[in-house]
Amino acid sequence: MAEDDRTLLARIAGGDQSALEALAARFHAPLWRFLARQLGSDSALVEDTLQEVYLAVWRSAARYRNEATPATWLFSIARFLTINARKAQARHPTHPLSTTDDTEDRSPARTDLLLPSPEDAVLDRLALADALLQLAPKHQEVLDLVCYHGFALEEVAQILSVPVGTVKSRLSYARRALAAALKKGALP
Amino acid sequence: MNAACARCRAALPWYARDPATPEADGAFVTAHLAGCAVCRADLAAWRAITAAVAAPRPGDTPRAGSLSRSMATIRPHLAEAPATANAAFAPEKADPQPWTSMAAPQGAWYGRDSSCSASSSPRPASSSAPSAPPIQRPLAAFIAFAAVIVAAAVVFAVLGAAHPSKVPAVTATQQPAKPPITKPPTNAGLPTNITFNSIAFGTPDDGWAVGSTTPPLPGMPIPIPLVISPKLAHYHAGHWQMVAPPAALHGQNIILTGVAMLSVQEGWAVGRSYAGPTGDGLAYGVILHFHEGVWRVAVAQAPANLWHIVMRSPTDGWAVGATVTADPGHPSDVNQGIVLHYDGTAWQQVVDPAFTAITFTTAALDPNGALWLAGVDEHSGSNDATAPAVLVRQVGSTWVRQTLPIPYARLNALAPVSANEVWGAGTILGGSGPAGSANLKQPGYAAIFHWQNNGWTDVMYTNAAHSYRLSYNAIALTSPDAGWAVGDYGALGQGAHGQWAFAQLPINATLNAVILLSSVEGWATGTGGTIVHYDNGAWQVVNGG
Repeated sequence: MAEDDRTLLARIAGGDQSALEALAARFHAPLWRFLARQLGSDSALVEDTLQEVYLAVWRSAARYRNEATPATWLFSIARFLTINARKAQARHPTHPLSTTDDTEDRSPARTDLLLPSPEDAVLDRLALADALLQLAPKHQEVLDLVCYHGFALEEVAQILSVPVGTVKSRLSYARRALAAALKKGALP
Repeated sequence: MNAACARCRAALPWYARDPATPEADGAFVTAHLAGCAVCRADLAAWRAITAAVAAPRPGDTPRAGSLSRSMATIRPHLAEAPATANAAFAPEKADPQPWTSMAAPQGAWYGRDSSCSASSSPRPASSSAPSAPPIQRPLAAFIAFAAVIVAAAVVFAVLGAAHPSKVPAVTATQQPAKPPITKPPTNAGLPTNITFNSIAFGTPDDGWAVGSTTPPLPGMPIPIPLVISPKLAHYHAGHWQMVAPPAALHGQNIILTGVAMLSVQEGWAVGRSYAGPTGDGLAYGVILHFHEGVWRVAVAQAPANLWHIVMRSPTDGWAVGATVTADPGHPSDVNQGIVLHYDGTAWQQVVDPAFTAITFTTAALDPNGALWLAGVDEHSGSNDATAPAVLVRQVGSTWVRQTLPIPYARLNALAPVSANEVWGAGTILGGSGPAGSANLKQPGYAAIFHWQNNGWTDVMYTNAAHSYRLSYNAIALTSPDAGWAVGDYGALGQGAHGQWAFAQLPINATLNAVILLSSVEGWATGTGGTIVHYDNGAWQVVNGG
């Protein structure tokens, strides 16, 4: 039976490298996605930052406290390290080969996925995707943590180091902003 | 919207993703939706948003081989033993690299409540930041470290048993050798998990110290859950006791950073929210008012982190701080100095070009009532260790800004003597100092600065051979050329006849604030709930240490 995350963290705190590898394997994909959404599609930067996350986990596992889930703790570290990565990114701008421009988001493959929906709904969803990308990073971040990763309200507050009320207000703002961006009125 | 709708809508972001999660409040929401068309429409909106968020984007999935590549890259660094649970609180050792080649740690120069002069984030091989020497056998190293801790505890216990009634006291008339670190007894009964950032007295017999539960050290991963509570300690008639902060601050992770008392009955305090793992994330300030025996929140959402407050009278006061960069990835988006003025009815922001791109960390009034401010010039980018220190002073209705001509200086506190003279306490982060500063052979000196007649006429550095960085964090005068400065690890600076001598209390605490009630009495406060009393020429620890 697979060990739970807390057990792995305890082993890491004791200097067990295999436990770190196991924990990294477990969280690699969600952390990668979270970082990619924070840092853009510069996959080299995402990978570098993820290495820092694992190293920080190694060095800090003994300070992990059981009040929060390991996932919350890991994401809080990742979120912290994205701040530094963003600063480095700004000081040494790079031009990643891959892009996330609108053309790619509106590719036929993407539209095909939406074909079963009525035409208006397809347009609404495309507009919604565009509107989502126009949101401020802090609002996208909250939506990502809640709507994709499924973190609870207090967990999001812990990851972002903001009061619970701030998470609520960011969610509310994001909801309103998306509604305002949709001319078709898909959102009430 | 009624209460049921409000409860439902609060849960809908989670319900839309998975009604079975506790946050989704599934049973209630499902029942409510059956009879509420408005909330059903809201659910449709959240489902659309959830689908949009979940829609894949390029780069969302890990590159092939990224996990194994990542582990291979960091494996050499895993030779270092994992940190022990309390390693974050060990004194930081001097870095073998010059500061000029280091990435500036976030919050490193926020000296008033920074118990750590600097720290560097862990970086893999591609980083230029120095790393600790590798330990080849982590378990053996850990055991050795634990043995040292146990041995130290035994030594402390023996020392404590041998001198059960003695409270360490230092008379710092000249530079003594660093005394052995012993744990002084605690006798004020206050908690020791508090960092006191500021102290003020309404009368010599009645005062306040403010701070918070100890925040995480800069650069360290944030504890989960993060709980930082504002703290107020009241001194009256020989006794200190904790006083509950206003209930409105509950759960907001507020650090109180400054306090100014006008009398026993009236005073003000400022603070900031702790945001981000290093405490310098997007945040806001708070202002508290003490009146008729009660602290109340006067301003709940000041537009910036507030670091200091001074009150000229009940109808004239100043609070200073800085905005925090909204977009840390944008180099032109830097902290901006914030100056708030109280006119007896409301706090209002004062805008002046002299405040551009500054993080104000301290303020003081000169005998004429003019305001002096000090901070860090942020023009070169927030968190730039090479950014110069700046001094801004009020001259009539104008503000005059001057940059310290001293590289890598940080001004953490000011003690104005007149319109033309001020003493400053701070640190030299590193680099080559001004001509004649022969002591500047290694970084991290606590420093006393002297500005007189529009020029910096003298600078004095501690020259004790410390293996870790030091900083003076506060200064107070008893005359134009005498006073005390306090700082990291119990550092003291005694000024007499314009000359300053270094001394050090036998404590590990960082002292963040000092007040002198007379030439023979004063108080200092700091980390670890530390309160130190200066009484007739000797400093005596009365709490923490």
